[in-house]
Amino acid sequence: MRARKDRRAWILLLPTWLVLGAFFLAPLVLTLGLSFRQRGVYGGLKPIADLGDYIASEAFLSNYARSLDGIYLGIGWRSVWMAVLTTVLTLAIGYPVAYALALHAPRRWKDLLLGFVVVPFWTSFLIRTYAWMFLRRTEGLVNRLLLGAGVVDRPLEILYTELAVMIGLVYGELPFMILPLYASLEKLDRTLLEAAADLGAGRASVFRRVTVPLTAPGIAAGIVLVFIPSLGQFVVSDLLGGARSMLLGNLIQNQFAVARNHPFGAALAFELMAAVLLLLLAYALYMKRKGEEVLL
Amino acid sequence: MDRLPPSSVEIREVTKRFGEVTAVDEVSLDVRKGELFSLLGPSGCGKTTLLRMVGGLETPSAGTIRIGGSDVTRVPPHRRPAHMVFQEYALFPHLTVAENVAFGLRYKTDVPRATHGEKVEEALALVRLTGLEKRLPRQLSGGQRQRVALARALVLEPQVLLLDEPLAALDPQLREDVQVELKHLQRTLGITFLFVTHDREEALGLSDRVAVMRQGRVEQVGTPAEIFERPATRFVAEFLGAANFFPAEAAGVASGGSFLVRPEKLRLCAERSKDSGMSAIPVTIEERIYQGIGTTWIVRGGRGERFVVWEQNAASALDEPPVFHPGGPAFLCWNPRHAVWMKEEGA
Repeated sequence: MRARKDRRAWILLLPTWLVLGAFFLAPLVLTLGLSFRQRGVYGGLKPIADLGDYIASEAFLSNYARSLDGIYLGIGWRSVWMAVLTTVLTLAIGYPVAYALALHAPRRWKDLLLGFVVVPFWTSFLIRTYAWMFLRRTEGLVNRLLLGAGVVDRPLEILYTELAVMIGLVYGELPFMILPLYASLEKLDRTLLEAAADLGAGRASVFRRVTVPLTAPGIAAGIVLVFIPSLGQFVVSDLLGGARSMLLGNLIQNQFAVARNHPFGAALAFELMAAVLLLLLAYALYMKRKGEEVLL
Repeated sequence: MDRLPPSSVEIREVTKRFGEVTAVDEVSLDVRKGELFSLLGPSGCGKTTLLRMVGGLETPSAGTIRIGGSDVTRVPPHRRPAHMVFQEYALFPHLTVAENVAFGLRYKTDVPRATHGEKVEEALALVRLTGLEKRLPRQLSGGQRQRVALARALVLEPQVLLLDEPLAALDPQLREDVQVELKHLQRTLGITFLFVTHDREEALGLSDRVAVMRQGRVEQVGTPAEIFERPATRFVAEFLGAANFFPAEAAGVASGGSFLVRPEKLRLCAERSKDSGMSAIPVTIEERIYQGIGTTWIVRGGRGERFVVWEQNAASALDEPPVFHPGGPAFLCWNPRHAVWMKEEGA
């Protein structure tokens, strides 16, 4: 009886396994294999003459060894730094927004306001990023307005800078911070805030001692949701940062699309993924300890 | 009047409007120091809103509130010498019992930090929760949570403790125990308790005085016996228990009102009493409801009026079978001293 039930469960899960296997696990294994190979003279792969020799010579680790070069470490470091900054900024902007939405917005406006947070998803992210470019070009709308109003006497450099990338990243990731924060703030029992005030806590104290600890799961989910995509981001930095700001995502993309060094690109991609997995693991453990549902 | 203890909470013509709705309508009350004062009324009568205004969680639209003589009408909740026990207790789920109780201590500048641990211990001992310091609220029973909420407010030594239906979330069996405990606690500490409830038995059993509220107004203020035995309005009479109304015309006295006699003060007699001091009217028995400790009789007067009589079963119903039977005649007797004259409302 038990065995049959188990088998039925397996059959039901089969489509899931097939999809995951074909589109997730298989490419992953292929990429991992690829990362141990070496680039051929004209792109492509260098053939391996003798597998035993290849492994013994540690040649299969050469891509990983190369990724530890100063220049790549620098790019990695800048990517992490940009992702951290994006996360901090989206949190700083997103928390007050989510707070106002969840606790202070009039009931009948709530859905509409929340809709505004989601509306950008209706348009492709690529198109929205191009829109930013048009707005911020030297002869773009922002500069024309500023010049016209006489605020500045020559166009501001607000495209192809790190700042431009930063703005683009924060803009793109903000909804992913606001939504989980809103979900946890909405669940917050308001009488707890009243109780804290009644016991003598001023507004700042209520926020620090009750609101923040009780919405920590939402904060953690927001951080994970923003930090991970920011770390692998390449569209924003490519379009808004130009050639000057290369991030890990651009580096990987370059290896595949421009330098045609697939093995090195695969190795970098794997390193990035390992970092992300570690982060997710830490998040899952944290949520488990809190007794909360893991949202991702 | 000067014999009375000074006022602890003075509510003067306080009104609270939410948009179009007037939740509290020009209420004035004096709660004396060390008194257990209840606000009693059906849901939506404004009792909780009034309590929240005393706690500072709502601001009155008009009127003033004084606690211990100083005007607190516009003082935010965290600066008031009144603390609240919330209906669902509102314990902080991320803090342990001890941390919950210690929550407000750091805002009391007159309590040195070194004594906090000791204070928390004392408060927990007071509500008999010693040993549960490290538990989280979700690991406690309903009764224990309620005691944590009490300790959390009491540790701050408030001038007034505000209790918003603190027993409503408890099992009926537990409720009675907690009532006794609350009363004991209040008497030991001598703190003024302002208590909100919709349960008349709770209000009668616990309070020194009760204000009966209806539609944002106070109908009557008095001791439990006063409001029960001498209700000022028909609403108070009916809210506090079953009530029989005898139209004045029927008694042949006057008009424009009726007499109230409570079921337990009525008696069924086989014949008109010889004692001329007793009132009596002929009735027909309609129903007998045996309830163990007592028997409820439903009877009809000459014009079909319905009356309820409650009789204590002082003797075993097995030894003394009932004298009256449904469909049979009887006399309804009462001592006129127990009849309360109630003027027709609106007249």
